[in-house]
Amino acid sequence: MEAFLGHIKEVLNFVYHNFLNETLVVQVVWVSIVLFFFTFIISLLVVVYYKRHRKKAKKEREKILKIYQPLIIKAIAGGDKALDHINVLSNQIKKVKHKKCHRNTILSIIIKLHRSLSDDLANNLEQIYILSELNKYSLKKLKNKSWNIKIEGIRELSQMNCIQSMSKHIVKMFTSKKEVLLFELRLAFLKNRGGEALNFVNNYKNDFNEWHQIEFMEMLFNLKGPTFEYIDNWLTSQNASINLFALKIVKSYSLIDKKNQIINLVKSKNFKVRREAIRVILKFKIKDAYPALLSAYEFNDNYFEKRRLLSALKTLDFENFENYILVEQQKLNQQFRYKTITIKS
Amino acid sequence: MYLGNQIFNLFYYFFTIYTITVFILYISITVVSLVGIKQYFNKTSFVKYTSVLSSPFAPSISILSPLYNEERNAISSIRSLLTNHYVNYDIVIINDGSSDKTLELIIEAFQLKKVEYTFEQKIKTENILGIYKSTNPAYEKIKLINKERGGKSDALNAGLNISENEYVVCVDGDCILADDALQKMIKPFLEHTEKEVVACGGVIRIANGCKIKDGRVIEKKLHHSILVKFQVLEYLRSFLLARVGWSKNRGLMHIAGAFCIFTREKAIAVKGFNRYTLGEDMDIVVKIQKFMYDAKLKFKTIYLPEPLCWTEVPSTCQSLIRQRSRWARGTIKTLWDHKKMMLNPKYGQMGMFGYPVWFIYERFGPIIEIIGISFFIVSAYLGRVNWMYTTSFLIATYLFAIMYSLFALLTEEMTYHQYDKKGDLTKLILIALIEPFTYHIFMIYPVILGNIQQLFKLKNKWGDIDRKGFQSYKPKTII
Repeated sequence: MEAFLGHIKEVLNFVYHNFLNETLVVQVVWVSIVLFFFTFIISLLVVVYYKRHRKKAKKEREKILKIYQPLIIKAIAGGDKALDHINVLSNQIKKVKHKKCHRNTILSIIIKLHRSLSDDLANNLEQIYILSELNKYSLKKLKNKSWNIKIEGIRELSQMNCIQSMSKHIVKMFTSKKEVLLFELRLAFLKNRGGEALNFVNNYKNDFNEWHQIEFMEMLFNLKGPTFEYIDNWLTSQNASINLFALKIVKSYSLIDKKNQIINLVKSKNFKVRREAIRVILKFKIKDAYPALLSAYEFNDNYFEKRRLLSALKTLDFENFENYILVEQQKLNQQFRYKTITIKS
Repeated sequence: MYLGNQIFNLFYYFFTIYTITVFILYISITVVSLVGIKQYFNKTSFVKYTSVLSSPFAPSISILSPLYNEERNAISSIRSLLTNHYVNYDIVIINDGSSDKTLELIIEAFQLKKVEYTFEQKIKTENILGIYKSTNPAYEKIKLINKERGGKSDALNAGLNISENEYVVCVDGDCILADDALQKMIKPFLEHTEKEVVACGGVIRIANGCKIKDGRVIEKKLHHSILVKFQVLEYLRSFLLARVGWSKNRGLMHIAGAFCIFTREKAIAVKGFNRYTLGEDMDIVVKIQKFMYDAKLKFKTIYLPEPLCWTEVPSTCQSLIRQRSRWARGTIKTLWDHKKMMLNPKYGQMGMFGYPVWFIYERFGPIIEIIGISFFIVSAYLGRVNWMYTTSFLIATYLFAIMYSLFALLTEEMTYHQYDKKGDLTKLILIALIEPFTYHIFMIYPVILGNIQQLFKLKNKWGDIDRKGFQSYKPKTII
């Protein structure tokens, strides 16, 4: 013990004489002062420069927008003369496309317009995009080291229906470990190839997160009559996130013939899958689900889930099971008598 | 004499070490924050939030908005909640026994009518006097709870009992939400699957001086009051530089209660908000994280660097002192209630890093500062000040403080640049230059006051903030 205390004393003495030496501390502090001062001056200059630069860029963007937006609209809505207008405009854009601000602003105008237009007008925009060689810049983004820039490129090409042009880069990008990038590619394929692009779901072992599911569903809504060849596998998959995705598809595309698989999902271990399965059953009023719901109700302890199940039973077949439902409802209310408050007006 | 020297030296060494560790800590948190902000920008630069808006699969959210004597701001705040772009949400307004006309104004403005309502009281609260719903379909998202006064925590707990949605967003009655706040806040909950996201917060900005129309901030302006400007800078430092860094370090102890989102299940699992603290927002964030650690569940708390909420801050010294002493008491109480976490490896980075840092630098920081100032005065009186040493430290501290503020301004300028009017940046730089020896010193007082109040259990009330109300937009009449 004494040796240990002695050792500590030695260490403290060492710290005291070497690091808490006043002169040394003051010297270190003065070095910090110089550092802080220069960092302050540099930060100040950067802030001021950045603000000026940003304002200048904003003004320039507004100027470009004012010039090119009407020109683009005029060109795509040119009727019989549209082709001529498009050629002239594309050549004009070609001349300024090397300027980053011009390129980005024009690209953003085209992409924004394309999102809200369809048929001939959208095709005309695609023509401008290709003829003015802006697609080359989108393709260039695919080679960028940053994954978010790659995604920007994919989005642009996919929006302008130029997915074929990125075939060279696809193999390399599919080896990426960045899930977000892979999902972006899959989304682009979905837009281009329809339901076939969903084949990856068959063997998907990871979690298909809800944000991506929502994005996929939105993309599916934009497709004409997508087919879901492997939906049975997805509904019976061991991966709960795939079950959830499949239920969303069933619900949106009214795939009522899958009712047996849906009914089975009422017994899923995953709470979200059970809840979604009940919602689907209610939406399609699948009366065959009655025994499964009844059994789930009887074996469940969770108040909220019991209430949800009873409400589902009531909606499905109240006439034939009126007595049972009313008795259970009363029991459920009694069970939670102490916890439940009813406010009467 | 020898003992006196020893004591003096001990104080000098203590302040030296304390100051240096403050420098290192703030620099490291700033670096982590900047990395976090950069990553967030990369991650969101291509995101289409619109897909989650129109989707029938968007998760359901309940917005809980507790109101107490908010007759000035209540209507515009509720309107701001209604203008949100998100689809799948409802608004639970809780009138916590207001003594002014808050209740009557809301009932009248949104055509509400008392209804019969059954709910499970998972968390005990003060008596509920009535629940109201609107007769106008345009306001069908609104539920109003009128209850006896029980404080903000009690009101939020009543909201938790009544809401039925998966996620709950807590919004103060004096807050204005950005249109896209909900979809941005819900995203982390939907995209993280390997770790459950249990809570998320966003940057809060100061609405004093801004023009508000129909519950939206339509013109962002710096308020003319110097006190508000000090707070603008303080909020920038705190939200942009500190919180994001803490969340990345997994040491986040506090998400501002003015605007935060939790999973309802977890909020109820920890028995909701603590009624017996004035820092209920900090308490619930710590409680939920503690619960997750205890249950050995993988989780995350996230702080988004985006300005998603605008709030009114005190514009008079008195109300600022009241607010800050309340915050100090909340911090003290929460840290005391969860003292088990201090340096406890069971609680991971939060126990080993977050808690100790909050304990030393947030809890005791102002006390150490006041001791330092007193020590300096005593030393000067006794003629024992080492001027070279002291001056160099004062200069270093001052330069560090203004450098840190400037970093916050730089980050703001490079990200969201909300204060974009001519002269705003210059004004904020000037504020940064004078803040260390004015506002910062002044802010020690409410913290010490809070410590004294907490120590002697003087009062346990929220204390009112005199609201000026949002500056509403008046269109110019053209004749």
